[in-house]
Amino acid sequence: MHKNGAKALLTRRQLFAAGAAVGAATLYAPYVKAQSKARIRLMNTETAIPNVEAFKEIAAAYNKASGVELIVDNVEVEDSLTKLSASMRSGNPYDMSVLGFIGDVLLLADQDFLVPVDDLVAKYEWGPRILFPYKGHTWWYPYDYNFCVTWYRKDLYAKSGLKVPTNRNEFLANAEKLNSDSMNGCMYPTGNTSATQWMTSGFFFAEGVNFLDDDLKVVLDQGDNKSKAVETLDYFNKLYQFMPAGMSQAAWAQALGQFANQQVAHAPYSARMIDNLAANAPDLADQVGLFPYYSSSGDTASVGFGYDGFVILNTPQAEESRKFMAWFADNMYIRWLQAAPLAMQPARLDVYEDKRWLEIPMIQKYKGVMDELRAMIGKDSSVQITSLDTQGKEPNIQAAKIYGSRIYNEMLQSVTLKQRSSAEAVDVAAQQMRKLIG
Amino acid sequence: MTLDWRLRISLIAGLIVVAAFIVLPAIQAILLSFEGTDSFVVPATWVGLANFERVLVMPEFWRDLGTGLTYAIVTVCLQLVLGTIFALILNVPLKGQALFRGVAILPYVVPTVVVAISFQWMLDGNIGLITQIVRNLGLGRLIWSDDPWIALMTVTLISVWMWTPFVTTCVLAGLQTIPDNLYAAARVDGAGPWSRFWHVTFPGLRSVLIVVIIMRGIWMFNKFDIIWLMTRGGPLGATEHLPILSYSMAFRQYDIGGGAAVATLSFLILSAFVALFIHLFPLQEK
Repeated sequence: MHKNGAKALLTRRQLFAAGAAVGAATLYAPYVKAQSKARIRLMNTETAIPNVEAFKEIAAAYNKASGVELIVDNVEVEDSLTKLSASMRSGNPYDMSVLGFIGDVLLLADQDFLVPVDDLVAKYEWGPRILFPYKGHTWWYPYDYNFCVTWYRKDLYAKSGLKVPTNRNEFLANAEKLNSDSMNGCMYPTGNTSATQWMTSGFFFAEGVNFLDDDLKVVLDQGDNKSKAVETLDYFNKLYQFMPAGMSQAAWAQALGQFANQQVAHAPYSARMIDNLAANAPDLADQVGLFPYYSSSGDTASVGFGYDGFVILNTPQAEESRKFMAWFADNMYIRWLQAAPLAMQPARLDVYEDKRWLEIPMIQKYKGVMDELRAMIGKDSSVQITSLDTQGKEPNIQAAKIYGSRIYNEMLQSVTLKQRSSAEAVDVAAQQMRKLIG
Repeated sequence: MTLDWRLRISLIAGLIVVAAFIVLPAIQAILLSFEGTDSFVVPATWVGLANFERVLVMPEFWRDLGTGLTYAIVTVCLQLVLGTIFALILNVPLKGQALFRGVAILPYVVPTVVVAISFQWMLDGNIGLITQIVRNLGLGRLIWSDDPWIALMTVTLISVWMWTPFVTTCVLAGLQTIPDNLYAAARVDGAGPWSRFWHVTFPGLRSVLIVVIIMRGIWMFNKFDIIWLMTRGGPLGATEHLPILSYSMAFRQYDIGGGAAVATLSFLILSAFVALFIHLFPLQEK
């Protein structure tokens, strides 16, 4: 017994030694590899397959061009700051990141965690409201606008003799007219996700409602704002009766799905709606049109935007990251946009004239749609580009906090689900916002 | 290497893992609750009890505490009752017993995200399977997500469906430890089925049930995933409990200190409940 045990122990020792050798080699290998060439770690929050594929291609091309390895991690956009913070706290921060909330950019810039990209953005001309200069610098390299507009079916409009609305009451009438047992007039999510902010706040901004003033004070329930907000909530409640059941659970997927499945006649989204229809309901893709969110008079219009961009973190690889960004901006910016050519509406104006972009099949096929969206960032455009998190004179964390809370969502829910009066809902929301931002 | 040494090394390794992944993060979270900061990357300032003072006057905190307690108590009670019934049924010798036992545990092994998405589709207010069945039965249109009370009940019932198999398994294991001769003696004494359950089975399961109640109570009070995936705390905060409030404050509203204060209070409340329960129902009878 003892003899066998000793033999077994010897075998264990041999196994242990072999394991230790493999372990040491495994631990040492990345170190050796890291010493051999430069690496940039990038956190990507565009997690759709074409975007992930695009980064693989971009990483390979950059490696070939410069010998620098680009390592890309894909992270859900809503978890971006958490993941980025964790990487920094662990002492192994990302060198670059894609970010989709300006509040995150400000937080990082405030603490000198970001490198300004003024010289990189200065090389090109940009659309309005996208660079978000802060403390005299530009901290990110934007790539898209993600305008949220309302999509409608041209064939249904023609069949019912409807005109494209030019004010919100005409839209309400159209939604009512197209509402039937087999199809709802429209859908706008009211659930506890940021889809609600993005897809519904356009109604308020078009009517001229301000949630914060330039001094970052909550003014939702003040003077003219309150009456406009109450009227808009009343309007939304009327529109709600033509929506499918379960809007308090709806978000991005339902907007795309219900429109593609012909459950609703109108639905909000960016031009990703076209990408989605082209892939899943190609016949419908040619039958859709868009319009912005209109005020009651129709004199003003707005679109919600869900901008995205790259930031360079202040790591030892910052210079390498800047080189990559410069190379990317000149050579791969359009390839990146090609991953979702309609959804990722370019923030850089030169792209709209660039042959490489104009030759993208989806852009060629749906040029009319892109022309309409392009016109919204034109110098003569009367369409306001708005979002809850960019309220105020300049980027600020207070607006980002309001955006991140569910106060706005619950304001809509309390009117649509609880039948609370719009005036009371506005008062409650304004009080909660004040409490939140102090 | 003696057995004693191996035991000590195993214990030390276990303690290191617990310290590194549970104790230290918990201490860090508690310390954060005394600090004011917008994010994990921003230097924090010591604010003493300010976060607690702020959180304790928030109506949402008390509402969410009530919701969390309701959710935990109802789900644990239903899991216990149903889990025990299922275990008693599965303990009866019958053909295909192993298959039935395997099937009974299935909901527990399905990933939460799959459960959440499946139920969301089945309960969809327009095209959901359950919605259609309810409508065909003439019970009207079930829109679970639009009614705060129904939304909470829906999440509760789905949670019960998911985690009852855990109770079933534990109770089934407990049933195997009760000697058959106790039942034989009870029969000789003329005890009927109910009497045998109450005087033999139930006391025999006491320790198992106490452990199950404690574990399931802690898990359900802290349960985050299914609620977040199903409702994100909505509608109108009806399904929001303290873990969701803590997460929302810390990661959505740039209020790390406030979120940590909610988590710390939640931890203290839960600890108090567990201590009280263990005091009232000690594992070993005196």
